[in-house]
Amino acid sequence: MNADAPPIRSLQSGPVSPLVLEAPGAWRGLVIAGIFLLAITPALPLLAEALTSSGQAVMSGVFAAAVQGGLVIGVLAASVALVLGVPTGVALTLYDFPGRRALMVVLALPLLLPPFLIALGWSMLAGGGLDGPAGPIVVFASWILPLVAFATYAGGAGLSATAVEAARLAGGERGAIVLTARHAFVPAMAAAGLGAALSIADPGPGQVFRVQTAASEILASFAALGDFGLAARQSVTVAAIILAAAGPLAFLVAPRIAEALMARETRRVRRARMRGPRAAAGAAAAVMIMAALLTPMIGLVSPLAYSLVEGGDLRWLSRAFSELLRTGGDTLVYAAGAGFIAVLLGFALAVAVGRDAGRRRFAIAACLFLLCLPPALAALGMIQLATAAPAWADPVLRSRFALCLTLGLRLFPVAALFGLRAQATSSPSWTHAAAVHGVPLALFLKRVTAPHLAPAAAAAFLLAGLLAIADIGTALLLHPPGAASFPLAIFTVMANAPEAFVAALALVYVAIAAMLLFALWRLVGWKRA
Amino acid sequence: MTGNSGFELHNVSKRYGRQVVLSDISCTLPAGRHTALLGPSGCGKSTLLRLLAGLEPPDSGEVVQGGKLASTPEGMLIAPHKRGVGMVFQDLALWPNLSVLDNVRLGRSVSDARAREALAHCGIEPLAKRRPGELSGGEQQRAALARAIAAHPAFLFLDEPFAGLDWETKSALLEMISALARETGPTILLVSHDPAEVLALARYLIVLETGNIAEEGSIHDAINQPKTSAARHLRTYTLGLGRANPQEADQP
Repeated sequence: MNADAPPIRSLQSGPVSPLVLEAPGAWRGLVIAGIFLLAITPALPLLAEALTSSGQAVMSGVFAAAVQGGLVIGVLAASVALVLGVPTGVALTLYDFPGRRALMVVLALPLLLPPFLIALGWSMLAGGGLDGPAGPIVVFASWILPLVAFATYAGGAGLSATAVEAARLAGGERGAIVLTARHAFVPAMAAAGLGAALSIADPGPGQVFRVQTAASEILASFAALGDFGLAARQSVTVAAIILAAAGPLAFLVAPRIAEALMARETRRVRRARMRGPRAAAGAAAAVMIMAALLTPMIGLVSPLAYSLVEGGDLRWLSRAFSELLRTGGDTLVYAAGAGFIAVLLGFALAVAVGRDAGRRRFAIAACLFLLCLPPALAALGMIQLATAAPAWADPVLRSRFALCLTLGLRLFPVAALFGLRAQATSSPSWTHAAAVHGVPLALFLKRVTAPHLAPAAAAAFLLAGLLAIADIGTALLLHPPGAASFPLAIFTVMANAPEAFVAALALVYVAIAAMLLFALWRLVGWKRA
Repeated sequence: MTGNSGFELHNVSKRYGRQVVLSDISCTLPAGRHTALLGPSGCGKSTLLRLLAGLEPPDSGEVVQGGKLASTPEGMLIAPHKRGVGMVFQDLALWPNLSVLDNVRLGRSVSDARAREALAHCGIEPLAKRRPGELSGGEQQRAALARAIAAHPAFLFLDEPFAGLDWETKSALLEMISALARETGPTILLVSHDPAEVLALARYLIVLETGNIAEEGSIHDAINQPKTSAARHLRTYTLGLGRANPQEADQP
């Protein structure tokens, strides 16, 4: 329906027509503005604090060096991930090889693990060999690599089968590879940029490899020095630096991502089964997965394996399960709460965006923009809100709900992308057919719209939940006393507990994440991959 | 049958952004006169159909049904489902998560018995429990047609419904719709590029070109004295069929 058209309204009284779902209206702009305003609300008090508080200069000494180091680490890790991830994504797009689907599931796993767990694995494997910037670069590269590979895969999947066949005819396999890589390069760049931005805001790997990072400095300013004003100024500075770099990129790639989200009536790329390229693609993908996941996993397993061989008992695993039982309830609450809020806001945004191309591009750019913000910004802002609020607000602002809300607001852009994609796969003529044949709006929503959006909403819920529990930065700042999540429990004991215990905890976490990832994969369509 | 009154368009214009799709159109579509809307792609045929169905308001002018104002630029005075229209959309618009039977009976005033009767009429009652994705192209067309006729509409709007079908399936469907028009009597308004479909289903034609009515009249007259390339194409097709006397084209 035309965005310039006047709103369709019935001058007769009667039930609301399903046509309102396709019609333009001021409510769309209001809902979109409201959601984005809500998303940045926790950061606003912090921004005010940063602008009004005075004290030690931010960009000097240790913090300036940490920011500079973080930027170098982020850029180098993203570059490595781009160099390795694009060929991996192209191989997954163009070639079929044994175990391809299973490899894709395994490749996605690092994305759902807190980077500090991957760092622990590398650290246990390499001893002190990776201490310094090399360690975080390796960890973040292996964490960003799947992001780049999947973005390349999604970008390449947007090509039609005939376009790839024409490239094959014209230039052989090289032609097909170059075409796919060029087509997918913008989403891959966006993924690498997003990964770099997120790495700068993550305190975990720096702590494991004894590198001072901006994120750990913010935590130290808040928790160790008790200087909230300094932490606020540092957070806002980091956010400004990240946004200066990632903001233009977000608006640059948004049209391309918006286009990729649209459903197409084209035949999808048929994956080749030629022996040579197939074997090479399979080997390349296997090597990438080995580098990204299996190597740190070997590192995580080794202390536990030594302990089992030497002692022959399972006490560390048993203690890890006890820890899981202690923290599992809260972990589930955080995951479910954040997932619910993210899906609610993300799908409301998708519905409000509708089919207007301009609104879709803006929403995607704003979502990428929000995802790049350091988690500490919203978390510290929430603390500031709780401090300023009256005591009766404590059950909301100093509770598990506050953590769920902050995580949900942080992750709703992920759910919004799912919602926008699901909506793009529906046809406006479904609504028109309902209007012509007299299907009431409520019945149409219940029987057609909701079932169509449900699989995407469930997948978004699961993914947002997994990402929420992997975000230890926010959990560390906002969890109520005695209500730590499972990954947070690992993070807090990793420096002092025996290696075998930390390894057992990490393995339990990886196993649960793998199971949930498998469920997610089944939900979004195993065969469609 | 729901209502039995024709449509009138009075000085109707419609634009999308800066593109004028319909420009000051006036015409009459009386009940009982099966009409084909012809014209090149993008000339406004589907838009005209959507204005009549009440899916969009005009930017200027009025749509009148049965002597009553149906749509104005300010909004709809007669809701789409109260216009007695059944519609087969270009992409069929079958709701993918519902069975064929549910697709047909989800509409207002369609009982289970009526839905099954429509399915039987279209020859797909055995497929009632299947979902659209499990049907062939021809079966999907039949399902969409069953949904359109289930409420016994006074008008049946067909927006290029046979695109992409093989000739055998298409002729079976054309025969079925012709029989339906004879038996239960909905007035057909067909948007098509295919002369065979036009000759099979319509007696009257309206040719649109760049948003204006370029030709209007009976198919018989259009074939004998074509004024537009669409009518000339129809004439060429008719002569190619060996119909020396284009009078035959007058019979739907």
